[in-house]
Amino acid sequence: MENNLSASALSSASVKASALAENQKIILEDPRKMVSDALVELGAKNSNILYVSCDSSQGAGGAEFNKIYPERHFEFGIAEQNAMGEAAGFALCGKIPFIAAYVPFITLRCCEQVRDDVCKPKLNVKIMGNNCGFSVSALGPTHTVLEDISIIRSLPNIIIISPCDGPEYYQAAFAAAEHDGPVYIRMHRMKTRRVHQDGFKFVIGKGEILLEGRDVTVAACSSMLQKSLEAAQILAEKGIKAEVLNISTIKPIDRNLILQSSAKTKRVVTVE
Amino acid sequence: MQKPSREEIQSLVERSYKCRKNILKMMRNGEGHIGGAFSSLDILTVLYNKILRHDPRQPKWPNRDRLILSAGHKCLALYSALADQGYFAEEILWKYNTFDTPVAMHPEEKRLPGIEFSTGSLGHGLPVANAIALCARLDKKDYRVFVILGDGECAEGSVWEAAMAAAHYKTDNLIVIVDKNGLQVNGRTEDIMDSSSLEEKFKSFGWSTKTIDGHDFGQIIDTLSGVPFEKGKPSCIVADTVKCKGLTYGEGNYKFHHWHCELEEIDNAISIVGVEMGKELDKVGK
Repeated sequence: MENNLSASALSSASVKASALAENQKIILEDPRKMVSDALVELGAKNSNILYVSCDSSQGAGGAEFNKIYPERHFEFGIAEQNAMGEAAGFALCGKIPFIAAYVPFITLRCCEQVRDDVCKPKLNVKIMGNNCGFSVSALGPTHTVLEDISIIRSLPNIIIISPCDGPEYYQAAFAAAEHDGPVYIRMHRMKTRRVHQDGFKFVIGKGEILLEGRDVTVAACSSMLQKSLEAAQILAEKGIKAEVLNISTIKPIDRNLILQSSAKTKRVVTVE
Repeated sequence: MQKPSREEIQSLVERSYKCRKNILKMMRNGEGHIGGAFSSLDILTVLYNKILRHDPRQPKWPNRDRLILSAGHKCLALYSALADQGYFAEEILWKYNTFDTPVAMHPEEKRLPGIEFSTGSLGHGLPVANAIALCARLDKKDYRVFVILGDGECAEGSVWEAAMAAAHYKTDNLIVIVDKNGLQVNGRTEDIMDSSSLEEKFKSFGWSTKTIDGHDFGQIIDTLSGVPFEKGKPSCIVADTVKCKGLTYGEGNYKFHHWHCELEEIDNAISIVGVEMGKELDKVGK
C-alpha cells in the first residue's frame, strides 16, 4: 500500500492523464484572483472590510481592492509585527481586516502578535499566508515554511483553511468574512485545477468525500488533493479503491468524516 | 485651557497618592511591578481626571478617548486609577494575584471595565493604538488614543515600526507618553540598551515631541492639554519620572521594578507614602 503511494508514484501520476481529465474540462484558476474577486465583492457589501498589507498587496488580491476602495487599504511596509497589531486594532473597532503577506512573515515573524493581539482576544482578523508550502518552486530555506499549520493550530480561537481549488478559495474568503473570529487562509501561488462541480458550497469545518472507495482513506488538502485524486486513479488501475477526502478546514478538523471513512477502509493516509 | 488652581492640583496629588496606598494594599497578596506603577501614576491621574473624555458608567462609549497601557506590567497603576474613577468597586483590587482574578499581573480587556486592550508583552500597544486612532478617521469620530510606553520598552523594534506607520499616516489623534524612569528589570536602561535621546528619536521618525517632568502636575496638565502639538503629526511626550516615586526607599532602585515584599513591610510603606504625599501637598501649597 505504502509503496503505491510513494513520492515517485505521485510524481509519475502527475504527468499522466487523470480520471478527472477524461471526464471533464480542465479549468485552471489563480487562487489570488479568486480571493481578489471575493474581496472586491465583500468590500462592496460591507464597508467594514479592510485590506492590510506589508508590501504584499499584489500577493492576495490587494491590488484590485485598492483600486476600488483605496481608503480601506492600509499598507504598512515590510513590518509584519506592526501590521498584525494594527489589524488587531482595526478589529477592536469593529472592522474586518484581511491581512496578507508571505507565510513565514505573517505566521512566524509576528507569531506573538497573532497569539496575544488576535487569537487570545478572538478578534476578527483574517490572515492570508501567501505562497504556502512548496507552492512556489525552490524558495530556499527562509521562505519555504512547513511549520505554519502546526504552529498556528496550537493557538486558541483561530480557524485554519487550506483550500484546494478556485471555487473553494473564493468561498473560503466569504466564509472567513462571515465567521466572527480569527481565520488563517493558506494561499497557493500556482494556478490550481478545479475539482469541484457547480453548486459546491464550502462550510468551515466540513470535509467532503471527493471520491468514494472502500480500501484506503486518503485525506488531503490544498494542491495535494489533486495529486491524491491522480494517485487514486493509479490505485484504481491496480484494483485498489481509494476514498479521497478534502479536509480543507484544518482547524477545526472534520473528525466525524475521518472516523467514518476510516471505519470503512481501516487505513488512512494523509497527504499534506 | 485655564491654568489649574492650587486646590485642583492638591486634589490630584491626593488622588494619586491614594492610588499608591491602594497599590500597597494590593501587594498584601504578594509581588508586583510597583516601580513602574508609581512612576506612571501622576501621569495616569492627570489623564483620567483632566484630559481623557470618558465615562466610567459607559466604558465602551464609542467616542471615548482611549488609553492603551502598552507597558502592561504597570497595570497596578491602571487598576487603582480605574477603581478611583468608579469603573469598578474598590473591593475588586483586593483580589489582586488571587486565583482566576480579574486583576492579574498583566491586564486583560475582557475581565475588567476600562481596560482597552490586553497588554504585557512589550511593543504591542503602539501598533494596536495607531489602528484604533485610524478608525476614528474611517468612522468620522474625533476621539483620541493615548499610549503609555516604558523607556525600556522602546528597545522593542515593533515600537519603531508603529512609530513609522503613525507618522506615515499622519495620525495626529495618537499621543504617546514615555514613562522614562530610566530603570528596567536588570538595571539602568542606559546600561542595558541605551535609549537616551528618545525625544530626538521620535522627532526623527516624524513625530512632534516634548519632554516634561512626569511628576509636575501643572506641567503634565499643561502639556497634555496642548495635543496634538502639530496638525498632521502624532505627538510624543517623554516624561522624566522616578521609579517607585513616593516610596522613598525604593525610589531610583531597579530592584523595585518588580517587588517581592514582605507582608510586615506594607504598613510601614503605606505610612511612608503618606508622609511623601504631605510633602508634595506642601510643595503645591507654597
